[in-house]
Amino acid sequence: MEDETPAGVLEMVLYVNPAAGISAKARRNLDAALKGCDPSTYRLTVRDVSRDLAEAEADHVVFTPMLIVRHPETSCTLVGDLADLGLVTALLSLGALETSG
Amino acid sequence: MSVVEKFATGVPGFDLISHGGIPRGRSSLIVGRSGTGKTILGLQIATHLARQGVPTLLIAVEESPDDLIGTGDNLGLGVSEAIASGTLRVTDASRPIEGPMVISGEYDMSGLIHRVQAIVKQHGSRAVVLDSATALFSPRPPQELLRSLFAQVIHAFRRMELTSVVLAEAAEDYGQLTTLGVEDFVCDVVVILRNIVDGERRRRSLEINKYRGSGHYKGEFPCTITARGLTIFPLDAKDRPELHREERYSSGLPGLDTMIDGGLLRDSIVIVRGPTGSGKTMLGGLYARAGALRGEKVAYYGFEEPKAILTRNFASIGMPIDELERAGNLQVTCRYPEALGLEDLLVSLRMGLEEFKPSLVVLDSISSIEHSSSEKGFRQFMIGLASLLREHARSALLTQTVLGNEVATHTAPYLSTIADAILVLDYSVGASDIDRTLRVLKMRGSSHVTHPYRLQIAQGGLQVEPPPVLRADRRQVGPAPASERPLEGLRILLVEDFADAREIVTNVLRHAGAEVTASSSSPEALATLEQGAPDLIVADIGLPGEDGLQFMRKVRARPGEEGRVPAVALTAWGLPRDRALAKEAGYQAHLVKPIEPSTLVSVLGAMVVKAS
Repeated sequence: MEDETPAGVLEMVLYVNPAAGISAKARRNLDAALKGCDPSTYRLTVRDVSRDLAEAEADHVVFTPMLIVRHPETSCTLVGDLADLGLVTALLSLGALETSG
Repeated sequence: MSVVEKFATGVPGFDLISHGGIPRGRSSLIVGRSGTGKTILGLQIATHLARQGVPTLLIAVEESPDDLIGTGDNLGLGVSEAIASGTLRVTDASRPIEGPMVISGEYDMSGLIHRVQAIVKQHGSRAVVLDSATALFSPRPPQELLRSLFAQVIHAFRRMELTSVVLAEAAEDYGQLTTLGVEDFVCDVVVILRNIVDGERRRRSLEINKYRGSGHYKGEFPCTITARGLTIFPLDAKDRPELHREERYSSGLPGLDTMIDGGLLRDSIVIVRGPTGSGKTMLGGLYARAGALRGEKVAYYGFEEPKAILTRNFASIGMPIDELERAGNLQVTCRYPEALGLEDLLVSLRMGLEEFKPSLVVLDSISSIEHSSSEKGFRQFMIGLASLLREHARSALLTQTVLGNEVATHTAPYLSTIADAILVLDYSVGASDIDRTLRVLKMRGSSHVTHPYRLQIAQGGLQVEPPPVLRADRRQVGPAPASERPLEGLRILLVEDFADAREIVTNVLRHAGAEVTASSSSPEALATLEQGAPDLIVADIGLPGEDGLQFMRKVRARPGEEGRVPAVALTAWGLPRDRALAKEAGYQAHLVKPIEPSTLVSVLGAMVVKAS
């Protein structure tokens, strides 16, 4: 069991397929979006859909890459390579995450 | 050419029209608008495969697994049972419920594919049902990406050697097959479900639009959804080799049995046609009673009156049925077709056949069904009914009400095809009574009398007798007893333009031992005379063109033996003047229709004796 995310911290889970280029691209784009954020304000878990099957099943994962953003007040799912930095930062800010973007 | 291996679906009728079911290791697409029964069909296939020991995975996208399981269990498909036994697995691929889903940029189907791979590895799944592709790709990606994503899924299923069934929404009943517009290109089989408004009723149908590498039945087939799921009515019957036998049974009317060489043929469909009041229901009742009294099981479906009235009417003419019902040999069901859809009626009939297992079935009348549906709906019903009866190898008698002047003409081609035998009841209103007749219009695989017999309504039902007279209006005559052959060896030239009368008189004379050459006109008869003089001429007077008087004058003008052949006028013209004209033309005798066959034979015999 993983530790519970502390209160006030944005939880993010990025499902990827390591064998696919677009998953690597999504990872890079997310890192870019998170650049400058205070690491203590979010928690990012990257899951491999070929290995983390129970979690993928529980989260109804169908498409990859897929980013699930969970916050006590706001949650959303972002499917795609996260290339639209503006969109990503907007969604993260909904979770009260201040990004440099 | 390799044979496509298939999994039977267990969906009634589907495996017949698909020549065995869905292709193993390939993908089948089921499309239809909302409410056409896609999910039900998918669940039926999934649970049937599971029950057959084929581990099956159900991917729930459009509804939650709980909802799908509930739907299947309510239909009695045993979804929970299959899940409990481990042969069916359900996985949830519905949209995450946590907030909105936003799609941006490129993505692939690895998430779903890896999940399925893991389940296949762990569960051993060999088949998968995806409900549905439409929900899976919502929101809808750009068309090129959509095509690629759907192909990824289908190809992954194939790589895993899964037999897949994919459901998809159709935008319209006829036109583009799916709202997404890509699925049918990738799948090997496309099945279309429709639920369209036809007249004032809804009509469901199923069509196999495409089946790569395999033959299948073409066109739309009626189907319905019942408490047991989807049922399809193939417009054709399974071949039943055991039917290649000849067994006859009594129609319930001894007179009719003599007309058809001893009785009706087992496993045949008989249509009894006639105007209102001609005795069709009574004939149906006699047929049913006779079967039940023989100890057979008979299902009687009445569509024109309530059961109480039908039972009372039968009892009042000496055909009580309640005792036979109590004994369990007769099951009478009365309902108005308007209260049911035609497909539901077919389902009811199918369930009746499967549960009561009757050997004889009566439907009185199919005209009530015809009047409560569209022409196409009725045609599909009748073909589906015939298929059902043949599939279960049942004998049936169906009555059909037609107008009096349509008894011999009003037969839609499909009805003629369905019927192995067609009986026609008719009547004419005379000055003091009603003359009823029964004619065998058609009877496949059996000799039968073609001219009408007399029908009488009497205590105990109907009585059928050979007609005693050759009538001027309908030209009826009964054959002379085969044992009496007073005209043995006589060569008779018969001239009669009316085909029925020609056939009847020919039969009468042949049964009396004569060799008959029949002509339909004066020129034809004169040409026949060129080939040699007969012993006797029997000619009608009212012939087209040259009448019988002109014909005889030409005969008498001939030199030699031909000109002296004894001749009898057989005519409806019976006035003294007609008689005089006939004699003047050269006829030795003048017989007026109607006439007893025995009288005709006696007169002809006496004439020959006199002439010789």
